[in-house]
Amino acid sequence: MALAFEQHHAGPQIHVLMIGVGGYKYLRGGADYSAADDKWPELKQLTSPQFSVQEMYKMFLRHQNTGAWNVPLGSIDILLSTAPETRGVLSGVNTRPASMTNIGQAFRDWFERCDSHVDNVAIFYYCGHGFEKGEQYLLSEDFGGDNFNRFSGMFNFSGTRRGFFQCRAETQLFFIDACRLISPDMLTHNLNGIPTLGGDDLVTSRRCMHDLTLNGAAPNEKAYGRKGKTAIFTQALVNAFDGGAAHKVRNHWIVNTGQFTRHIAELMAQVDPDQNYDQRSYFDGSALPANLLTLLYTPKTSLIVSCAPEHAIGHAILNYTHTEYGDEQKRDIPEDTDWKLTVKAGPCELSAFFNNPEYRDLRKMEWAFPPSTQTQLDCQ
Amino acid sequence: MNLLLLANGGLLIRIISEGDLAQMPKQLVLLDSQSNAVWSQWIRDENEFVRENLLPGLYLVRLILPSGNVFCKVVEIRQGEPARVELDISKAGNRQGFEWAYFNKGASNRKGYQRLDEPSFATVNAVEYNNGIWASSVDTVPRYQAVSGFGEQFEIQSHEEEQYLRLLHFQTNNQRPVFVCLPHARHVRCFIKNSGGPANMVHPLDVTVSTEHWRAEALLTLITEGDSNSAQSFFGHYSTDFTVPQLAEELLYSKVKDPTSAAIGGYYLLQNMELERTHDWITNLANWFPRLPDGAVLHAWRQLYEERYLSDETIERVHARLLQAIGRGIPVYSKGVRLLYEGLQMLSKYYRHRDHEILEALDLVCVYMDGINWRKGLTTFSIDQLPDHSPFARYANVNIPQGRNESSNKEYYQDNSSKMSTQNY
Repeated sequence: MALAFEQHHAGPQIHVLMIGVGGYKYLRGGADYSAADDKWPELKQLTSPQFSVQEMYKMFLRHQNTGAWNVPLGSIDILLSTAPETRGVLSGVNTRPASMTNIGQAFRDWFERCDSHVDNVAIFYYCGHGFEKGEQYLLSEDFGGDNFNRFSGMFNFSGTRRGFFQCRAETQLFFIDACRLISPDMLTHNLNGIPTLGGDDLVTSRRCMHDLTLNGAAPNEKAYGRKGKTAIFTQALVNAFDGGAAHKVRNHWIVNTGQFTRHIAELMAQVDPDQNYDQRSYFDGSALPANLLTLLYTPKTSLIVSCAPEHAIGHAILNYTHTEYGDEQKRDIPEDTDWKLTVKAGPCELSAFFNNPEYRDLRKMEWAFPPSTQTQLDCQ
Repeated sequence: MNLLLLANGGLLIRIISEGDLAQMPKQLVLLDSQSNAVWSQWIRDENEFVRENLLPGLYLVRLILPSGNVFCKVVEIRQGEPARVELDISKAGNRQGFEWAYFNKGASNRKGYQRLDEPSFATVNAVEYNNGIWASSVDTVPRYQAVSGFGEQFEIQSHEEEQYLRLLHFQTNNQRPVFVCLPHARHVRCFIKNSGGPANMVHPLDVTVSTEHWRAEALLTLITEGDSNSAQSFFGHYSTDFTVPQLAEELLYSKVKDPTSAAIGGYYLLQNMELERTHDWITNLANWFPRLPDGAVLHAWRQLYEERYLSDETIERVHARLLQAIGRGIPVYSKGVRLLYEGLQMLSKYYRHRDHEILEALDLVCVYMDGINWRKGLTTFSIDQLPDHSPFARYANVNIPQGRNESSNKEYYQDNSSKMSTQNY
């Protein structure tokens, strides 16, 4: 069975398992859909998971190609079921359909790869439909196909996560981009029989020292995709890996697990301002931080410049210069809104000039840090 | 400090802060023009710092609160000239008096949501857990509390010997009530404000509660926020011989003085697999404080983590401890609720979903979890009605045998273990 990426080295490696389920055979719009047997009319095909998996895949390879991973990439296994209208995504890359059988086998194989070295980094990513009733459940492409068991075709993610704590890989990252709502039917059904991947979920002698389990939605909430685009949480994740969650240590911009939880809400808000509230994303775990990437570039960040008093911004000609790189940006024509720039992280000089004597011209030194920095110019 | 006394390349940093903000742990970081941290220190009461022999150039002074809020100032060091920078955080916006909530506990400060359901008043009562039942606390006067976007605060006093598990109960018109577990402390501060966030997803009331034990509260914020980077450096520079695990160990050790802060220490040590530092103190926390569910949860998990291959006896002890936790109410900290739920789920599966008590306990925990706000360190939830724990009340005080690797309760209330710091905080 060929993986999407495979490069064996001696020593520790990163092993990734990605599952994207946009195409559901038995849900409306699916290849084997039957209106007469439709048990889940509220669920439909999704276009975001395939783009999300693709974006994550590119991100993993991008950092592999620049040698930025602190532990080299060893494998990426992709299970992908695409909605009919988005075929062609990840063409040329080895993927298999995200059926329950394939997911179960891929998980066991991934567990073994990860278990081969204590310093391995295990990364699990899922994007698709999900439910929650105490435990979190994720759907395969087979979901809704069993006339005798309406809940077949999904797996218990919470139990799966618990069981994985026994894997020898001390760094374990799980990212889930799926809804966490309960369906009315679930209230009256016992879901104890829903399988966990890997079987036993009884944690003994936990081996994971660096745990990051991050959900795109808090319990009882929805996660949001964008039609034909990367899902919001996934885009925020990619941005975090690319430097949005970076901080500088001894001349290097480092991305480590500890920064994800603190910045993920802000990164999601950058993708979609409607996601700008604290309860949006949910994490569990997070023990000792682990350094994942040492970036070979200065990450970009968002810089938002306002004025005091507020209305001064409408009269200000604004300039930005990066102190280290000399990059410049200008706003020659005053506008009534805050000046939002994307800049390289680091020190910069901001200046404001006014044609209105009510305000004073000024220069100010500022520092821009990922994922965003806000600053105010005192113009009076 | 006289500026003239500074040698070449010297920088005097002065922090101006008042009241609570002065007391709170803060991380002071000095960055060079390449954004490298050239110096970092956790500070509390001190307000003047000197750095010498800095190379000429631009520097950024950053003062970081446990919540992630940051104050910054840029300073230029010139050859042969001393420099001075002042960070005045005493008048931080219009939040005076609420700094503990915004800056230490990370109360939501996001803008952009204009909500129609913002309440202007809430009634506040205390609810007490006793023998499986939640009931109104007789000695707490109900109050009517104003609510605003900036927030309002009030304090609750209690007697130190009063160690019932208590909830604060907030009620506004036409909304589900909000409940917050109260830590055992003489003074507890409450901060209530309108929430940011979409109305159909986020409750309109945002409640933050804290003790004045700032170090424990800061550690709780860091582990709840999942910012283990900061937790790692937390107090690492505060004192050269006092690391985070040691702080957590000391909190656990001081359980007689402050059992809920001891639980914070216990959660940190378990999460980071620092099992040796828990000694027998988690057992004692579970045994000595029958009104604190967190001790039983911590003890159950320590046993799970301790053994590579679980014996039937260990499983039975874990089983007993988890039911004991439910018999004692609901954990004071949301970390404990998560661990209680995870533990019950694992046991449910182990018993092939045939252990009816475990299944009932799971249902009970799920009632709380359906309305819980996981971003809060103290268990904070919004549900219509508090559930009845009376089927489990008999487990609250049951004597649970020692684990295989545990010695008997050889710790005494006045332990004078030489390796523990006697620092007051």
